[in-house]
Amino acid sequence: MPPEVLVEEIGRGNPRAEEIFYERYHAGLVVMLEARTRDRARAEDLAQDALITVLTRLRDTGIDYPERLSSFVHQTAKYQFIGWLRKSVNQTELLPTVDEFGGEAETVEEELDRTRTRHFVRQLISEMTVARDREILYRYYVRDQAKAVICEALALTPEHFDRVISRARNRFRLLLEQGS
Amino acid sequence: MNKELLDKIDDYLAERLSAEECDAFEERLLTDSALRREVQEQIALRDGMRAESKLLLSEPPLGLSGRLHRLLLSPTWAYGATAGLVLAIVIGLTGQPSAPLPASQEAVIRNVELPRSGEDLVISVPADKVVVLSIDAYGLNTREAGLRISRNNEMLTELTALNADDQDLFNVVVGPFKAGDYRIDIQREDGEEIPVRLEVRKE
Repeated sequence: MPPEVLVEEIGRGNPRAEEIFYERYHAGLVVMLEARTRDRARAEDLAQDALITVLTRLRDTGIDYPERLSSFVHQTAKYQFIGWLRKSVNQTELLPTVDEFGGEAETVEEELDRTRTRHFVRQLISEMTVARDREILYRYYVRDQAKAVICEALALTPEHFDRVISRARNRFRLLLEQGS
Repeated sequence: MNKELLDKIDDYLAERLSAEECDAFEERLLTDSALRREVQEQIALRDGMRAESKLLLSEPPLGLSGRLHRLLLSPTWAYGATAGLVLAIVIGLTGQPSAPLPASQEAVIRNVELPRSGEDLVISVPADKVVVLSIDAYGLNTREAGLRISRNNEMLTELTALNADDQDLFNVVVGPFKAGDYRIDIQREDGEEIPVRLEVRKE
């Protein structure tokens, strides 16, 4: 269903259009917000808030450019994230207290997921027998250094760098596939 | 998924994209399920690496090529005291000695990336030295390709799935080679063969 039609149908109160809207954007929003918050549970909450905000708007007044629905959803989620960020910065001193009560504790499923991922990453690292390759991964994934910076620091060719990263990605994917 | 997009995912997760690029990427992420899956995987990999950062910085267990590398780089090698032992290990790896060498002859180590297009590879070594090569055969593995080094049709080194199962042809240590003409053949699983002429030349 094209976005213009989706917007129009939601405005008319069509519940099926609302389901399609939810299915289309929910998973993407969670991934986007998880990338920003590094917290799956928080990302789920923020995604829900964003979807409800957009749905309410579509039901009530619609939007000016229905063909740009994705952009509207994205902007709304971004504002939700910024709002959460402001709040969490303002309430830093409260966070340890909240955590003590397990307010944001991860679910059993999330904990299993995390444990499984760490197990695969440990296996991936233990298979790497060249110290420099490990350093490349450390600089790239942990310290977020750019490729050009790493290549210069370690006197690597870009091709060499690409091979190490690509091999790590492929191996990790394989481990995930074998483990699922 | 192409390499540019994979790099873009990394740049996105490391917050290296401009605001405009980030918006465009996220809008695509909302509706592209393949991209979404890939980003999820990369988040898991990145988070896992961060959680295991201490392990990343620890000294790796040495594989065969690593052990050889360390041994060849040790000062004892330079003085020739363990030359016999090293040669024995190299012989164990290759099946045959690459060349008889006087015990006092020093080795120099060169890191080389093999040319892809069958060009010659010329290595110069001082007259009184031999060369040990740390070769990168395009980062392939013995599951994907075989690496053979010969001299005058005599096989000196052969690394394939049959005799070196699951070994990376990357930082693989071969030699020592004295001056002469050698041939390196990389036979890929897909049938492609890449021959390289290796010349070890005295300076």
